[in-house]
Amino acid sequence: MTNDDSGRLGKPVMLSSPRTGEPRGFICCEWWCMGYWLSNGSLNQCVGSSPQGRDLGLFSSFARPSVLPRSRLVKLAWPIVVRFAKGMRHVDPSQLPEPPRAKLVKVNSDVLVVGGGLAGLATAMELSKLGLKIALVDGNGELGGRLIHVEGELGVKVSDYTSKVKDELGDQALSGVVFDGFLEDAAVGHSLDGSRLFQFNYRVIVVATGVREVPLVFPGNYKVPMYTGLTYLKLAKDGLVKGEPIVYGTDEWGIAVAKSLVKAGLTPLIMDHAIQPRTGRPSDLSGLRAIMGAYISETEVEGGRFRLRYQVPEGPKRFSEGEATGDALVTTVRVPAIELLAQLGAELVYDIVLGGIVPRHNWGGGVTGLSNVYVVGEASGLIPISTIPIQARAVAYSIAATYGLVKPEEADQAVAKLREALVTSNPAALDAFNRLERGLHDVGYFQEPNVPEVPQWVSDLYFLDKADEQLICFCEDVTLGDLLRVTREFTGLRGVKVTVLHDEVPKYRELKMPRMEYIKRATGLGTGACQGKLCMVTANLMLARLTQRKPGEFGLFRQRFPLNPMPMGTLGDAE
Amino acid sequence: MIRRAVHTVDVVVVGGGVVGLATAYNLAKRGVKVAVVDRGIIGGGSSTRNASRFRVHFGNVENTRYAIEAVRELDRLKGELDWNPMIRRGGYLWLFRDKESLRAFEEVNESVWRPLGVLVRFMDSGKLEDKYPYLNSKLYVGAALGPQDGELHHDYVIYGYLTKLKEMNAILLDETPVSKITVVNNEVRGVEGVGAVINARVVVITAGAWSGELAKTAGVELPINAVRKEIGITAPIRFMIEPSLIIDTRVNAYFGQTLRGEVIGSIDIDEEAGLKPFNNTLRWLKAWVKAMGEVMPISRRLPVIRVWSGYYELTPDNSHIMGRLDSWPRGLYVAAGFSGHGFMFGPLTGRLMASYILDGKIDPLMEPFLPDRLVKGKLIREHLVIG
Repeated sequence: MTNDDSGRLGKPVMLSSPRTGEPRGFICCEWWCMGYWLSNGSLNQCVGSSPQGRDLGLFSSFARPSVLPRSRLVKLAWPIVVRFAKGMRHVDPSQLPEPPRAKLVKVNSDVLVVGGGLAGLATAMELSKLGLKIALVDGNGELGGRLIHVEGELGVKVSDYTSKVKDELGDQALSGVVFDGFLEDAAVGHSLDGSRLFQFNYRVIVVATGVREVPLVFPGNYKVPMYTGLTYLKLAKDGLVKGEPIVYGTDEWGIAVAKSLVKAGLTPLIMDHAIQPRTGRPSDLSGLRAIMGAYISETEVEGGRFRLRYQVPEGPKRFSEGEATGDALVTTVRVPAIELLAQLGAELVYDIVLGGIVPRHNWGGGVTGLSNVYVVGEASGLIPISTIPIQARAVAYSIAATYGLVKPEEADQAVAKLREALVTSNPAALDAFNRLERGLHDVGYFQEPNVPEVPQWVSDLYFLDKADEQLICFCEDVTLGDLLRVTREFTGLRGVKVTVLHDEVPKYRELKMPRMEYIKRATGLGTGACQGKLCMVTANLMLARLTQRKPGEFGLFRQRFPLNPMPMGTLGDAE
Repeated sequence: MIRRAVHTVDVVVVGGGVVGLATAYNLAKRGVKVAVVDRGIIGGGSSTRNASRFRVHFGNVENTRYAIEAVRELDRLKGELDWNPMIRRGGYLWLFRDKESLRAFEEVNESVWRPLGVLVRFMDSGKLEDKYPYLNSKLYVGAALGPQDGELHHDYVIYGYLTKLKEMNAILLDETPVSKITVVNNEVRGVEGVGAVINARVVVITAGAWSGELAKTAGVELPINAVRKEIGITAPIRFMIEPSLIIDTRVNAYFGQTLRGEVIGSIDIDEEAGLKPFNNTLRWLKAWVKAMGEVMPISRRLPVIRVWSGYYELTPDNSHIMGRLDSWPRGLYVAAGFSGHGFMFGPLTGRLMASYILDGKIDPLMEPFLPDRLVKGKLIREHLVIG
């Protein structure tokens, strides 16, 4: 749904909330976002039409799920409110495209690789060389993942992999096809145009779903046009955006995005609240305009441009202030795309070293704890891109060893190579290995302090007074303030105490935090069209940080089939 | 060693769904010290997996009477609980593909509903076409609208009880599976599980589909069978489906629209009984979307965004069991087996159970549902089970 017939993107326009009419600035044109556009009633957003009006219904602003349940006013006026709540400006079904008559396609393979980025391609190649029959699916129109859009910036040439995999797999390399997940009697996917329903038969599945760029959370974050890095790169290459974007995030990917934008003739400003670039190499920023250590505190929009006010902490209760202006805010902040694993009920942990929510990963066998499911690439944590081909080989050999195609020693060697690569590229990884092998993740052990690293999209700590201006769930209009109120209500906390550490206040320590399942039901977070893809991990990590708890105490809510909204017609037709 | 928390209370309610919470709430209101214990999250079983609809139209006098009072109780809750249950009376619309099923429905109306003041508006397919143009009215010979039926927000009812119970200092233990009911000298002494021991002289089983297994640990056989039911929801669209629920009586499919715009629905496929995992099947999904395409052709365009499943807890006569039998250990009570319509009955059941436990009072509404009907063979026979 992201492209028009010519396959080109159109210039996106700002959306507005179907409830309140407020601007709603998260713009992403990737396949998994379709549901989000639907909820806005702006299906073909990326080709530049928006049926949304901006007129405010007095009562429709009450229709936020997080406002509804406990507002006395809404309760008293319910018979009136209910009439307006029904009137939310969602899309009319006649505006939705009529799905074509779908065909059922059965895909048989020994190994199904989900995700056609570097990790998926490298794994497919290794496995194919070993003589296994491979099928590969990717939701994007073309294979290669995000790295083809920054080709040359990160020292990996993905196009080599794409052409080899296409030669090797032929029509078993499926692009534009979403793997929707697992039903009891079938593993199902569909093509994005709705013309084919896929049923996959496999013995082993490799999840290489990579990462997902998520919205930044700061006061007024819904007012500015916020793009994902990938979307903005595509738009820039098509010449649809110009000027001075602010790129937030300084890991490998963020810097690569900023440098690619420079090449495309734009003048990006790179920003992060880390003091150093997250690659650990200050020299990576050379040649780029950068503001480091900056927490965004205020947003102002004037005409087509916006101004961000930020604070740079300089000591206890001391900070300097600054301002930055831009045409677009580009988030390159990523979380592992773990929905498929969460559908399977895989246990997920927050890995402090790898910096993400990752499946519990038995590195010796490359197994998530589910007998025939393997994870590779950034879906298993944000590992350095240079180590991904090495990890792919380790996973491929682990699978091949179970088929007797390679000797167990060879698989062990491949895993040892990965270990070496990870440890040399990231010294702290050794510690992670040791703890993983001792199984300490199972008991929830974390290095002190127990939530050590603020995720880079969380600029919360200083602006709790503006919690209601920080949108977390863009589908259902849930703010940080809503999350904190619900957490308080469910724990009996009077105020969330940010300063409590360790056992200083034993009574606080004893309190049981509400599971995200409660928070989801009470606020509506993650119940919208994107089903938590944009907000689930962010909400989990922000709550953990703000309450000084481990992310595991909140947990994640259950993910369900399908991964991507699928028209009923597509499901019903295919025989 | 595993540390087990030990609690001592007057009454322990096993099962933190709507029935358990309502029972605990009504007990706590009378000053009883209660504990609610649940194997997962509170309200995380059938109480959150249902379609969140209520109706007064049942197939016999007993259930219909019970439902009328149950809906009144839901209405009363609006004022009592802090969370807005978001009740909307959109009505249930039954669709009939043949004259016989329509006539059977008319007969129930004459014999059960009309005398009790339960309204039904019949319409022919022409009127159906006018009022609900999005339906494929050619398929139907007629339809019946029950305007008193409606929808609510199930989670907010649950959380309404939950916060009230917290205020009253009730003990709420989630993620604490109970492995057995302790019975000494034919008298209950509490429950125990891996995480906790709760001492109490009264144990109320409100564990829905899991009630049968639990009762067995106290030596009691309950004829409750869990049957997995699947359900799905689409992305939100502009509000168009005015009835709270539309039911195709031939294929036993139902659907409705939430206030947020999603279309929610399901279809009955013959599923074997048993506590199957909360998965979904392609078999069900295809059956559902096909039926949807027939009943409401525009639904071909609606994207499914989520599917999930839960249990119907079926009894031999599709009606619930509440109360106790003298042959059971002293202090053991049950309210379970609601056969797919438990959420709407929950709040009333809680109130009746509390007065039964504390005063020994058997409300006339409750009498037909006492467990002795299963012993004596006086079954109620409810045939209007949707989905």
